[in-house]
Amino acid sequence: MTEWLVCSSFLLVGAAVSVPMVPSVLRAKLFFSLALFSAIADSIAVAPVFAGDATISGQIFFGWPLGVAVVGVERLSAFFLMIVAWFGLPAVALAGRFVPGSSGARAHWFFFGLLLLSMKLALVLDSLLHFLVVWEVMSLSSFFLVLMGNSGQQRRSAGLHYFVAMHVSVVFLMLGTVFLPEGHMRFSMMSGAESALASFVLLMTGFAFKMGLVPFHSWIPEAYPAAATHVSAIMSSLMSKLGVYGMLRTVLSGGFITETAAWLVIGAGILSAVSGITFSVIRRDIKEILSYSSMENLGIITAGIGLMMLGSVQSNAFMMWAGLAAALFKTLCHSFSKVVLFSAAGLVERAGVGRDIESMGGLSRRMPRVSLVFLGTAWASASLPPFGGVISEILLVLSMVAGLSTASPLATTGLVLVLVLLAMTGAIALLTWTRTWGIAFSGEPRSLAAQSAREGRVWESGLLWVPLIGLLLMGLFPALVLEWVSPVMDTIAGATLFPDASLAAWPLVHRAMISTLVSLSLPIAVFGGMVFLLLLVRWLLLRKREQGEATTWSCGWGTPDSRIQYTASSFSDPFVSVVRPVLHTEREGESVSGYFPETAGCHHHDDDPFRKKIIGRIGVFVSGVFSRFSWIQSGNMQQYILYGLVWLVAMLVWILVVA
Amino acid sequence: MELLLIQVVLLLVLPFPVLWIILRVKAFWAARRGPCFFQPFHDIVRLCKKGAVFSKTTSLAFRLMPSVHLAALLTAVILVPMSGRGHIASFEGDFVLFAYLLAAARFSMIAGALETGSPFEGMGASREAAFAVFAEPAFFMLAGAMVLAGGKADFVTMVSAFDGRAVLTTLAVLSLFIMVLLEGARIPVDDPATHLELTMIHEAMILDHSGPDLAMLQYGAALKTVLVSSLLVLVVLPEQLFTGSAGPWLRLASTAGGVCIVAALIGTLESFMARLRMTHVPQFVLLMFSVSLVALVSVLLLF
Repeated sequence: MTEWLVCSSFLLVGAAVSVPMVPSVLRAKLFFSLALFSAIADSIAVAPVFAGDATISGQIFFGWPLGVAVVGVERLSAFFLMIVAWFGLPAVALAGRFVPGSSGARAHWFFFGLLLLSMKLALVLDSLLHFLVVWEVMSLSSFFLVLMGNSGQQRRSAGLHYFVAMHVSVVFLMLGTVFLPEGHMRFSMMSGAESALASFVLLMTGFAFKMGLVPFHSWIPEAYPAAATHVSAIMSSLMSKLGVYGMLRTVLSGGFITETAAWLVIGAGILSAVSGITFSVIRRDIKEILSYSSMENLGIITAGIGLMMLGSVQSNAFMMWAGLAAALFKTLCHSFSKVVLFSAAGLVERAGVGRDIESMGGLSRRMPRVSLVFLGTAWASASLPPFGGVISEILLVLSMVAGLSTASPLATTGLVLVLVLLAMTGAIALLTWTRTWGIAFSGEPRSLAAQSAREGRVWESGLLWVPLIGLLLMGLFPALVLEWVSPVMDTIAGATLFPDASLAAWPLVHRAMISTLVSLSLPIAVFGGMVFLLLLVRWLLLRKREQGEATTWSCGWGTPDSRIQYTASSFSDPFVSVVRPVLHTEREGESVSGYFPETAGCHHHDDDPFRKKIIGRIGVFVSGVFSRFSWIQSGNMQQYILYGLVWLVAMLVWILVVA
Repeated sequence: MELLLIQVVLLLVLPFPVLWIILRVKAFWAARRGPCFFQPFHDIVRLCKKGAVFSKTTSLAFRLMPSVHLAALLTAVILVPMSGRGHIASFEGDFVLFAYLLAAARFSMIAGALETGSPFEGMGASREAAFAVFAEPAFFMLAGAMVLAGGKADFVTMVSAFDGRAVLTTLAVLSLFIMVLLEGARIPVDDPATHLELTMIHEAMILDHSGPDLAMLQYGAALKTVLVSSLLVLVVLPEQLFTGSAGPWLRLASTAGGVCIVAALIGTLESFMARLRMTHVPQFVLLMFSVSLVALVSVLLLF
């Protein structure tokens, strides 16, 4: 089956190389068809992996210095490979609409192809060294894509920020592999390494950067918005999942799983979820909101992985199963939803409205199709039934509940705390999604650009219904989805569960949980059915009655306009004013006071405290330290030659003295 | 089977007597006669017979949302086990789905309100969303305490988890009663009889709805009150009282009776208390949070 993988890779190489050379009208179509064929080839390649116990393995011989690359695809890689191959296709199909014009377009297509290729190769390669090389190619190609994004000034600083963050992450990953015991330079051989807590922590940190977990998330709200829309969609829904893959791989090695490690992972996950969603409430750039929401989702996935680890420590198969299932389910949901949300935001941006939600509004009448698909996906992203998100929330809760029976008193307290934080994340998510859709799409237009916005072609927004329907099916038939994923879960369970009775209990647990999920389908189907029933009743009632149109009620004032509408900041203020102590707030001017205020003017800006305080200070510190060495780079050629001379003399002395 | 069906029918019918009892109790304290028993029913029917007026600002979503709102609440009906036995959809983790169905109802309401572009409706929507941020964790906290005490995460086990522990039951009832007031948009959180838009939450969000849509939202609000107060009553009534083959039927009847008593309590409260100042409502919601926290910590210490 290796030949199909090679075929798929070559199709993408072909896309990267040939697409820039063809006339610009053909580029998008050619690229999409090659990506589609490559996805089909991938599916043929990994089908036997899902079906049976087969794993794909092979070796590719490079010359010096790359050596022998080991290809190894088992179920976990196959699962993520399917996500990378298929879930990004709507964004790839829309890429032609979002590629920045003229000069940079060729390079843009090249790096886009390279990005897709490197993501797949990272999943396929088993040897860590080659994995790191491909990982670097992925970071670099996406860095160039961020630089070539279409958003003016911001993209350079964003690109630089991204570049630095990704390389700090690579340093962690490289150190992590260095600390691995000898002979463990392959993913599949990492298991059972005992003296490797350091490498566990380093590898997890490196992958946490890619996922954008607190406090390593500072690049996310810069890079995602700066990149072109299809690139942000791919980065958020697919590239961040490679971090999940890496994390699962690291956990799979098993030897590291301890109670402390599990709690670290759960803590990082749930903190990222809460802070990510909180920061999304204070932003007004729609893509920044989506970026922070992406951080929240990955936080929840991480919490699921952590719960699985805790279950493994406690030999609690129920807790493990539900935690892992929640993580994988959420992975699928998030990959579906972020493609739609970013693309819809991109279509709005392309209609000339920009990205600031405070200057949108009224789009639900002017761009009805985009608005409706955004509303549906926002609904799904708030984890509401009947879409898939709610299933992963329930699975997480079930995992915690199962954990309560075996946990120590301290761990019980911790689990209940996580439960409460999860509920809070859900409630804030509802706030952020109603705010984003409500301010950006509904009401009266808040700017001239929004006033004159028009919708594009039908297929552009029509394409986005495909992932949304996927989300709906995931909500209606969660048991089927998890049956499909169960081979992946079995592999992970086999690698991480301690070899005792709990492994024997695994199939029983599987059956019990699946039957819970089957009974969950009923109320969700009832919900869907009720909506249709009520709409039918409503239609029957209204069919023969008079229906009129009028202006919105505004307390007797006949001409309401957009200036009296609630803004995004006023909408979120009741919540934000409570959490403001933990935010970074810049404030100028005085607010209104007294009964007859004379002058008033107030500028208020809330921001992410991690970005502004911690990362900002680290940046200042690092540049302060390095500025002390700036005299080394004087610009004098003589001085540089002097360095060479000093070096040679030092070597000479060393040879004379030592040898 | 009959038990399940009657349970569903009872939950669907109860909103009307509950609305009537509230009105009648308020009338009693104000020394008025009050409306006839069928008045709330007539009100809903009257709205259903009307045509509708839509704001020119709104789009398709505004027309969809009331139906989605009621559909979410009707789905919650098959989750609340009024008889104390399993309901049509009783499973491990059903309380999470219940909370998310209430959240779905909230989302649809807020989205509909924002569609109109009205400042009043934006204000109500914003308040509704913000209060939920504190109320939902409080509900999960209480649920967590019940799960810890009962050992399972379905409503049937959870509602009788505090049986025989007076303090815990009191705390749970207090927390759930605040939730009834909040979700049902009653005084002191919100005043369903107010005529001043600036002080409204729920009523502000439905200013622009009319006809069948308004009927669905009004009925939905009453249904939500019934659902949450059923949970409250189920927590109060100990399971041991209802043994034997007639047990579930008796429990069903007493829960329905209990819901009516809660309605009377709401009516009394509305007669003797003013609506809180809007700035004090978050503190009231945080009261629910702290009561649930006390319950949770006590359970952690006890079990």
